[in-house]
Amino acid sequence: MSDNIPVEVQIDIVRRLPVKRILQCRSVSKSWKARIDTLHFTARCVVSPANSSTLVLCYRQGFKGYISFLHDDFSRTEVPTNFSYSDLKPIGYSHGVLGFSYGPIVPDYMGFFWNPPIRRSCGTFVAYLHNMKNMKSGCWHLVLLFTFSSREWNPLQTEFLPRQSIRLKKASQCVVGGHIFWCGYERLYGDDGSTFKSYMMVSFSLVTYHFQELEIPAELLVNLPLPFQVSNLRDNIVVSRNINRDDHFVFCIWLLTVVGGTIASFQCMLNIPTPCQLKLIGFDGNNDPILEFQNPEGWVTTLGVYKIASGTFHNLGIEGDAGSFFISPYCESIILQTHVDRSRLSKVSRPSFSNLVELELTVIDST
Amino acid sequence: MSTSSSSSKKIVLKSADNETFEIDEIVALESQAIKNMIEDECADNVIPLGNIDSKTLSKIIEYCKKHAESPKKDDNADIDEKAVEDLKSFDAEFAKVDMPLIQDILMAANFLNIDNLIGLMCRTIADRIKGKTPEEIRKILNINKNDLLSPEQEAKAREENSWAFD
Repeated sequence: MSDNIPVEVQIDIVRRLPVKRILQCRSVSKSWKARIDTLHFTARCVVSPANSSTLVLCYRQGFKGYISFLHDDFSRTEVPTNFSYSDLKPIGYSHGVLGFSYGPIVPDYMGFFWNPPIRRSCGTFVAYLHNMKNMKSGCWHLVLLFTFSSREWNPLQTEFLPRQSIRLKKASQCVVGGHIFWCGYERLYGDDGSTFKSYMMVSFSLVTYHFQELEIPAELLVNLPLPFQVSNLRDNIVVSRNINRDDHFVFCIWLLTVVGGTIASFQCMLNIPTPCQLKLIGFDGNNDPILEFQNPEGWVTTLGVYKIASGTFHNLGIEGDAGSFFISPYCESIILQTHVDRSRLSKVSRPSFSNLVELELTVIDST
Repeated sequence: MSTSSSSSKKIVLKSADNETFEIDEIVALESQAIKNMIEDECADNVIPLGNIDSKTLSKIIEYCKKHAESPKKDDNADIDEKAVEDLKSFDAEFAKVDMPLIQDILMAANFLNIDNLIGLMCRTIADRIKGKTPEEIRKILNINKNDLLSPEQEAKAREENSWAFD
């Protein structure tokens, strides 16, 4: 045959290269560069490095922050960065991009996004609202959404939001099937005037931008420690928490499957009896849970793996501040490639809405 | 004499250099393009492929035969591992040819719309250009000279990811 491979097919070849090589390929030709720099190409090229279940581990110890790769054998290597991690709080990850929040130490709260393998980071300021501190958190008057394509914060329409009375537990979240999931609750009043909390899950669609309530099936609710922490094991939502027994704790991990906006099935994955409280941080390549162990004095915690097969704990010997551990699977993408490293994506804008109460910085919409 | 193959329908493919290949219809159906032609009933007894030479076409037929014989993934949830391994090692052997032929196969597979084969050839080329410089890649894939970036544009593209060129 004569001639050349059609450009679309050439790009199909480029897509299969490691991200570093893809970036080099931007200088091969005009057509290649133009196509690599498109959103379409970026969205198609997210890969997990073959035969590896490498994780990215973030944690803090005192005033110092650490970010490292955690390999299959639990050895660590430092992730190269050109910024200080100490003041950043990990919020979530998606498509190889880690999202952090910074502040509110300064009047302007910042969202910070980082794609480690292509060494790109950028930040966007969120208008900080001074009256926020004085309000009880969780009123749904305003949700702002930031997208990399628009580079702007835009308020969501009110009809996309959940009922005003619903509160979110924002300390943990997961992204599964194009939705973010949180533990949510609503304060209700009993006949005798007492108040109680009714728990649910709340999801946010990254496609339609709608919030949705998910009722927790009664059979699950009676067994579930509340409020639970939300994470994920691949395409399953994972909820977990300690149950307090007289002289010890039992750490429960449940797997949920959501189909069409309802919790379709649920299954208890583990009940681990433990003398101290545990917190689920993630899973290793064998699907064994990686847990934060609270030391008796409370502030310092140790990271360990619970080997399901043998029912034993394996101490990883990594100590950090309580609640500071964060783990995400490592995958490669070229998201943020078209952004200048360490650039600021949006100007500080103070929306002139009345009744601004709550801002959400939980959404990483990376594609 | 086997009963199934003798009774199955035959398709004849004709290469650019006028060589004809008679194959079972089931083998030809690996090509989405030929499948569409047959379904639309616009395929004559002989399908001329004016842009594919006989060397390339015989490789393509070899690939389609093997893949048509192998159990499909969606047929049965638990196909035996051996069949999967067997197909994998066939693919690996199949791809051990020189770069010009790989590119010819890729273009033909693209024309005939054979998804798995396009993927296999793309992966193979990606593997082979992984360690190459942009200049070498241009040469290997015969990139059009008119499509090159100006020296300034190229310097800028490199500058934006200078670490990747270390």
